[in-house]
Amino acid sequence: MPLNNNRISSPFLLSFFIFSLPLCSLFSQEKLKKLLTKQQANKIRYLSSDGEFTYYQGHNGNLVLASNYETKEIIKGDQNHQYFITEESSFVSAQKNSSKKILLEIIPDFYTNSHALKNHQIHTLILGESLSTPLGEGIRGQIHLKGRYISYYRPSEKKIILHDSASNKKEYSIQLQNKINAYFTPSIVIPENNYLFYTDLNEKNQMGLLLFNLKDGKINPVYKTTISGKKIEICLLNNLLILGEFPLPGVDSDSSIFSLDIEKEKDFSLLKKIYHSEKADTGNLQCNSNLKEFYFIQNQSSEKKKSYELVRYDLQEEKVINLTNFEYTTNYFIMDGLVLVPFRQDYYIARGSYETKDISFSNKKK
Amino acid sequence: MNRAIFFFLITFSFLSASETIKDDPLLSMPGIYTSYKVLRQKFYTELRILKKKAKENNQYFVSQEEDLLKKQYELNPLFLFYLWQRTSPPYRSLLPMAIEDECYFLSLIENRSLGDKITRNDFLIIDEVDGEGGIKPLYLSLQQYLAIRYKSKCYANHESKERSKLENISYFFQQNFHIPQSPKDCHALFQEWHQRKETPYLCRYNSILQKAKKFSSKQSSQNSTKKTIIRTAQTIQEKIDKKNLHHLENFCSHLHDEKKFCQLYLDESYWNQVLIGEGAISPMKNRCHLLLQSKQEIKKEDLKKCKDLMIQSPHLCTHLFLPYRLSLMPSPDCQMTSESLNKSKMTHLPQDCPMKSPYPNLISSSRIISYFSPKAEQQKKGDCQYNNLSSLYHLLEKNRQLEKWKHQFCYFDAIEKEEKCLRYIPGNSNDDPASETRTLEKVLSKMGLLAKGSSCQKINRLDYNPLLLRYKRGCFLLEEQAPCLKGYCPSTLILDAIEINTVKMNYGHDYSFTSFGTNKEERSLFHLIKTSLKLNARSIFNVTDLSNFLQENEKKLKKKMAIMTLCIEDVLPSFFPKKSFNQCTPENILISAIEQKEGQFFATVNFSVDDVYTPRTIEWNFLYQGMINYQQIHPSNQQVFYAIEQ
Repeated sequence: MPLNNNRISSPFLLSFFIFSLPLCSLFSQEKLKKLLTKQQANKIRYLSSDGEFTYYQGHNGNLVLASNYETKEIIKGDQNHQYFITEESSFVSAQKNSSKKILLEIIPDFYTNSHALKNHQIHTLILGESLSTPLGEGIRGQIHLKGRYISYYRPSEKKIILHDSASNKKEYSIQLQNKINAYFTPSIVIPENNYLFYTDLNEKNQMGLLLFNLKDGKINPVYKTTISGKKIEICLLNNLLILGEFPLPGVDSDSSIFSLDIEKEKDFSLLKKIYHSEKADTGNLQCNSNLKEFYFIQNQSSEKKKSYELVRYDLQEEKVINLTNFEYTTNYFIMDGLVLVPFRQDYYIARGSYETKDISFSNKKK
Repeated sequence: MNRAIFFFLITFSFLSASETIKDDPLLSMPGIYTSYKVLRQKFYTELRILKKKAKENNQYFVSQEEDLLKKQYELNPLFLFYLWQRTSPPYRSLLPMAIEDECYFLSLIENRSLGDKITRNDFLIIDEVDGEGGIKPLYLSLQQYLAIRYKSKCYANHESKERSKLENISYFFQQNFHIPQSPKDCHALFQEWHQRKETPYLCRYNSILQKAKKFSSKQSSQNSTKKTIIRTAQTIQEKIDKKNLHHLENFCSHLHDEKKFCQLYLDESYWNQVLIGEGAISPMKNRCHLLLQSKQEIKKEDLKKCKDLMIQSPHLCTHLFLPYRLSLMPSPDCQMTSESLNKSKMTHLPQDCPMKSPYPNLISSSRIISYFSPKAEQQKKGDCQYNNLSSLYHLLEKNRQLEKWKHQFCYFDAIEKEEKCLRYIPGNSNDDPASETRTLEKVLSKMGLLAKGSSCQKINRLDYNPLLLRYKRGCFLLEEQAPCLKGYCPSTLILDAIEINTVKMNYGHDYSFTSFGTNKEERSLFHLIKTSLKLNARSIFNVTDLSNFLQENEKKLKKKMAIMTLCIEDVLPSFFPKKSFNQCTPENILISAIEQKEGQFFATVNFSVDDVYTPRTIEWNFLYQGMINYQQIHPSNQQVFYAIEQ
């Protein structure tokens, strides 16, 4: 299998890319569907792909659930509040909306006193419900194994907090070894009930991947970056652990993505390199189990022009495919199966389809 | 004189060979080096005899004017050969001109350029030639010799000397020196200076400085000559501007090497700009301290070594500041940092460390205030944490707007029977009564716990060892190694080795940078800064507008910058990825410059997650995306993008 599956680097595509840039940008924006919602996009904090549930931030700073032309206030806030809502990053289509757990992060004093590592108030919610359950304080909350576990990171203590909702609300706390880099936040995945993988930093700012055994609390390092200043990002595609190694800005190095079937194999020396680029990709690796693919932001800059695009790696075809052609794609996120890309004032649907069911009208007609 | 130069010309080729003989591969051949040694020994024996004879003859030397006119006085050829041997390569390059121009030759002698390696070079061996051709060597002081020579010629040398006097040097540089902008320009400047009659006079200062440096670095006892040189060097350093000293040193040390002379000016790295006196030294000094792992004061030689290191291994800058990084890590590499620093306007500000006071609103406000303040006020005397917020604190204090400042020490006042709180600036500064430790001293003395005149020290918890005698008594505020992520740096108060819990430490603030929702513009920090510092501020509409604003009147050195509030996730996505709808962490950035390359705009930006000496160069489209996204979530859809100037 070729290591570099970066199709855009083929001469034909590259020349096409260079000579038809303005056309490409227009074309891609036309090609990518803009997300059109009932609610103003800048107010939305969560949206189900069928449009049934929308959580949005009201003008007064409150968090509101809109469903079936009805609104319910979830959190009373003021204009100095901000909310973010996430769900299980590796989308599982079988999970019905009605029992889906989502995670709410509340940030008070948003305009007066917020910074990248300030603790947020973390609450859980069942999608469509208006009652939230406070969980703790931290950042980068994540839901794992269909809501069984919830993890978040507490930068002030450099601790990963893990809630197990099944075993009598047991709480695990993993102390990071990182002593040098305050802005480091770990990447966490839980493949099954017994263990989790997380990233940490050593005293040379080298990132490593560690395995934490939930039963006995033992920690085993399994992988380490070759040089300091590179980040490890991980995500799960069913049994497959996808591990990306990307240089952080300012570090001149290459990017790689590996895979390992962790159900069959725990030996990380057997990691299989499935992607390599000489350039420093942005990364932000996320998996989509439903479509058997993962996404990341790829650096497609030439000597003359900087360019970053969202790409998907198709595991079956073993190739990288461009999803955007904006030139400046910096971020994307997955929400209820939709891969959404913010660009300028709008959101574009890079994967999945957003089809609103006008439930209220059909109900009324009946 | 002519006889001496003639002798000099003949021996020139031999001398060149003899000087380089040690490096010659022939040396390894048997017999060659031995012959050289014999020749050398013979030469010095002859010189000793000559010197002795000259000293003996001195008693017959008559300095009456009429007698002097009857005779000729020339430098002894053997002594000239000795001087030449003891002349460093830069001055040797001036000799072709000396051969053509006797006055120039005299100016070299006058300034000890010939024989500059000799420590005591105030005496010369002169041949007195009488009317009948008889030669008598004399041992004369330089002054005596010059008095004879200058009696009837070389009046222009006096003018060159006058122009090169310490008090006239500034003017001289102003009139005759500029920083070369191209190789052609540099070649012309080098040639022009090489031909200048003032060169021997100017380079004399450099020789003294170099000698003084050598003497003061040696621990051995210093005789009166060495002491005089060191004293003269001090006067030179006091009277010649640092920038001009740099140029002078570069020119005089590379008189023989145009390439090396120009290298300094054509190397555009920030590190080199510092070396030629064009860039602020602090951003380089801080890095060099860590790179060279030096605990002592960084000297100019260290800076040169450090520059070479940074140019050879740019990656070294990415992980400096270990063992603990007080801002975003990794930093851009040395080359990227150098490029950004060349355009940054924040290089004169004092070092800060945002991680110790992680409030983007306050950090950026403090930097704006420092930047627009007079130079004297920019130089704060405190640690990096004190530098984070001190400018802002004093502006708020001046405008009586400290009510939202939550950094306070609170205690129970036994007399008034109520809790009292005193505000403070986080960090140490002995000169500022509002600094953390000074405020703490006030609180403790009000509580009757600290004697008058006693002081408190803020130290790292890891450095505190209660078993050591120096920690048994006194007041210590122990700072945890962990960063101040909750918005404060957790500290423990120790008084006479006992932990004190009766002083409550509060942290944080309630200031917004601009208005939001019902929070009025008049109550924002930006409004306060604008009005107090009398700044002109206007909205910027697009990148062309920004570019025009930052570039117009650039030569007038008008203080100006642009500020923008954006979502950091859009600008530094590798560090801060987005995971949800409208996720945003507000960040205020200060834009110093913008330039267009290959159709794309790149801005030089200071983030509040980086220290002030680590600006980044960011592509405009990322900034724009971040700004738009912040505007989108803002309750009144406000775009924060302003041009400010004084």
